[in-house]
Amino acid sequence: MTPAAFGGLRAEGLALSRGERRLFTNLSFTLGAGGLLRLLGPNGSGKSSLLRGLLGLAPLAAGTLFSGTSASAPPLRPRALCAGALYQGHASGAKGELTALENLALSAALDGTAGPADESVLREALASVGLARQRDIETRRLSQGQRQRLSLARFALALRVPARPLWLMDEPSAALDAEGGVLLARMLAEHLARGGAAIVATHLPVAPDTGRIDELRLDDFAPRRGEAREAQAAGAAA
Amino acid sequence: MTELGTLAWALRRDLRLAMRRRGDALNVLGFFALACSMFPLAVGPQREWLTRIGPGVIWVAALLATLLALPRLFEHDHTDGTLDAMIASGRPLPMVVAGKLIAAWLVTGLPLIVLTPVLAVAFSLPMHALPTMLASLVLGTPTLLGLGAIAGALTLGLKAGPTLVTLLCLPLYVPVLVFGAGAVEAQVSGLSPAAHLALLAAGMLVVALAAPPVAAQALRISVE
Repeated sequence: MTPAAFGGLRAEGLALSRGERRLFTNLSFTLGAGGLLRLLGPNGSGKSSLLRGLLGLAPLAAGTLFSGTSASAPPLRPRALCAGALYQGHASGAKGELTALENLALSAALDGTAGPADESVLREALASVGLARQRDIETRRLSQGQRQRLSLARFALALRVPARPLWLMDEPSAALDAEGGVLLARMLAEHLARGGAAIVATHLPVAPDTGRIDELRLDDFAPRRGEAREAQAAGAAA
Repeated sequence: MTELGTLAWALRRDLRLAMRRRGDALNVLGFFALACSMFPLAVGPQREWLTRIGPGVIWVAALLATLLALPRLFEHDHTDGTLDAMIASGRPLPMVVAGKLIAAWLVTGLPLIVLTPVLAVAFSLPMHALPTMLASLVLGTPTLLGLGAIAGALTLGLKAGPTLVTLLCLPLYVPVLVFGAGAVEAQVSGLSPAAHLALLAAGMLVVALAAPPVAAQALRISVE
């Protein structure tokens, strides 16, 4: 089955605050099928918050999302992105008491990428990320890097079906070894080649050698000092 | 996955997790049994006193045991990121919450009810009142759990969460306690418990319908 291509996403004038502090304002980007948006910026510049904001896990202070890259694209309903997206956050998203295989089966059922009957598919996905021997080990006994590989197995499954064409990854390679980095780049390349899209927050080079890669430096959109103070004053007054 | 599929997914998931963490459920059950058995030691072994306080004691202990189980309902999922994954999946969150609540009741509520006949004997509760005692718990404990889930979702991630859950829940639990213990009381004194049980059932229906969507919304706010 060839996965359906990503329909496109356009963001206009996004702003996001964390507590009293405005992280970025007036951020806009366009992401089409086969495109990868790489989020860069120092710690605390809002890379994770932007990913969470797109999914509705964190409130956007301003801005609109459109489903499509053209100027006439209709606005997205809040949280509408979730159904077609696959998100990997900071935390592992795996239950420590369950084995790697059980965790992957649960995630795959939730993501709609593999049913409980597809155990051979799940085993294959684990093998493809180098966890064949850790299949029946409780996840809490895995190393940080192995847990990150387990998250990658979710994405490996998503390559099979068209259900989730937008990948949102938060530091997917932070704990991976060099080989794991290559694996991630290869998976991203395959995903983009099939018409998928990805937004990846990372400070490490994970860029695959295919696909259209854009970089978004979040510190470029940080409010200037005066603005920050105004925003704070406005917040305090409110 | 359909809406009911999502519910079944969450139910199976939490039951499997409970099997791996049997200690949690056993703690709740142990607390319930021990709390009940403290009372005969404190008030003395006079039969008529025990019969008098028995229903109330069992009900208060069941209520406190439920409170004990509440902090774990969402806390683990919140810290290990699986709650984020459930929300980000775009699946209907109320169904996930409903599945989790059914699992929580099977793991913590049902064992309390199974243990109750033993405690009823210890309090020399008249045998004809036992069915009413069990019925009141079957109807009342899901209500306690549902109300607690809303409080647990609202206070998720707060440092004082478990304490706040107790403070938020106890006032809401008062009617359930009054009608639950009241039903048994009525049966013991030869009156019909039907009115009490009907009110408990009505409360349970309202909470069963309202708790999943309300707790789901509270979870969305808590993860922000």
